[in-house]
Amino acid sequence: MTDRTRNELGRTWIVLVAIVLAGMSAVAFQGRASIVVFAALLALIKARLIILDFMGLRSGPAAMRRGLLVWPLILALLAAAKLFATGMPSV
Amino acid sequence: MDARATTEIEAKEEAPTDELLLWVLVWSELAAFGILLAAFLITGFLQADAFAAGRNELNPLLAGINTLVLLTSGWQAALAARSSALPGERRRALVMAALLGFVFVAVKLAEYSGELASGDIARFGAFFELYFLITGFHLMHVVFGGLILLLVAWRQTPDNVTLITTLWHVIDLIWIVMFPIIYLV
Repeated sequence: MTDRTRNELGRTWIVLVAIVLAGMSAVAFQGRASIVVFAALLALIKARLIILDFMGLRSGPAAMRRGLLVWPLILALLAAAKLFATGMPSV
Repeated sequence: MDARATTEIEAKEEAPTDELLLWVLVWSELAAFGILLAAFLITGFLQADAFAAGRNELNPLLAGINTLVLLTSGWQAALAARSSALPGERRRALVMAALLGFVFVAVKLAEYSGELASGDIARFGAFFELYFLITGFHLMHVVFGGLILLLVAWRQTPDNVTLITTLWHVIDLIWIVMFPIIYLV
């Protein structure tokens, strides 16, 4: 159970939708190669908002919060290492 | 010690166990998908050209739309999991979350049909094998989670609502991380 209010959850959802639309616009208008890092950062922000607000862990157990926040970060670092090794994908 | 005090102590002793099982389930999902996504990235490094060509056959627009659908579903699940939500309000939010999950499934199946119609996918190395394995495994979670959301909407208990909404957010979280790794990186 979460102690967030309806309005707080609504605000988080609006921010998440705005982030997704920003990422989709970047993919559509700027080409894939230039926005890969941008999209990965947006994904990390989205993941953080889901964990803290939707899952109610902003005030939950600290160890679980940290663990969940580290999971997307590890995959993002692995993705960055792959990009560094192979170069940016072309459009 | 009266019966009420005994019940309260028993409830306090049981709570961490219940939560522990929930988090074991959450981490088993995250570990499984973490390994699959790591395998996708490593194979993408080993077969860079085939993966770049395979990625061009995907439809990031439909995947982006599905991200919006799943985030909205997660929002509804979070509304259902509020401790202050009334039973009727909770039921509506759970049903909405499930229905949006099924919209996600429909969009994903439409995306699959477009990709399969694009021709011989074997020429892209292991790209489509891993793509269908990872996204298909995730899709099965969405289908199963959606059905459980409907079941919990029908037969609500606070523990069941917490369990399924937490797992639904994990399914959402996995998609959010999966999207750039599969479609962009």
